[in-house]
Amino acid sequence: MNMLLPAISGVLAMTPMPKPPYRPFIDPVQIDGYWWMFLPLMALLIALVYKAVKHANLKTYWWAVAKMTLEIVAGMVLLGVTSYLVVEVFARYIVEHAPR
Amino acid sequence: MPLSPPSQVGAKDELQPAAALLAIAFPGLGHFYLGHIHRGACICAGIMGMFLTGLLIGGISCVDRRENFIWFMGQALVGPPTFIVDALHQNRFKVRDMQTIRSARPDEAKDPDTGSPTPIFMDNGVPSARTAKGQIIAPAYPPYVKSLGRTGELGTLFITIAGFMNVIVVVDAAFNVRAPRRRTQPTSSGARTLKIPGTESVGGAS
Repeated sequence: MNMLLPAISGVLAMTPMPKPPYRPFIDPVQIDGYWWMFLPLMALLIALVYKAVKHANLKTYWWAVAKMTLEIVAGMVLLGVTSYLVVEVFARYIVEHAPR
Repeated sequence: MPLSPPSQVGAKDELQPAAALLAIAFPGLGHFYLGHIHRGACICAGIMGMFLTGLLIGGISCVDRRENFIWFMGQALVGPPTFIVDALHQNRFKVRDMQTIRSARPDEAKDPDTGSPTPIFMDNGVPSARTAKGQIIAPAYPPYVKSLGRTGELGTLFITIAGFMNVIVVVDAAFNVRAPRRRTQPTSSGARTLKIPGTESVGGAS
């Protein structure tokens, strides 16, 4: 019997449990494939707060927010491209051409 | 001499304790108190937008002072909203297993009477759980789903960045370096003078 218990619990553990209904703000959203789409939103919200504190003239506030958002997004894209080039091109080149 | 930037001319760099306390109490409230309604609204929308977006993406498990203390320290800078969410998380959603408080596993429900975990079993295709008093709960689900991977990372990051942005806001409200109502008036010599209510004129011709 003692030998059977782990086996039974193992079978029970493999039984797929039904997923609970989605509860907003309590359960996570499944965004594993497109998480990067939230980065522009993050940049926009950061710019919204930062420019509200630092920008002197509120008449050009929204223009400054849009500009800063684009700058952050462009910076992230540039960092991504640079990382890709370093890892996929530069490091590969060094490995392939290094003296053995 | 041209006018200095408005954030520096006639700056009142005295500590504003009431504004600072209100800014800590809720994002943007300090600026509302100082009369910067538009700025306060933008700050509130930005910080609470980040906070709620983080919660929406990663769920309530993103704010956890017991299992994720390092990140919680950054998130706590948002102020009371973080502590309220964490208190809800610890008291309403976690289970009490022996002497410890932990997240329920995907195959566990929370006993509403004791708060302890109780296993979920399938009863005629319906997920059910038995309480300590012998009652059957159907359907029974885990109190919440813990966020993992990118989802958890992004949700946690959103809320933590909201906390760090709130530090800038609190400092800005505490040291009010922006005179709220100022206007320029031409003088007899044609130069422009900056008038700040409650202070004498500053600036002027070079």
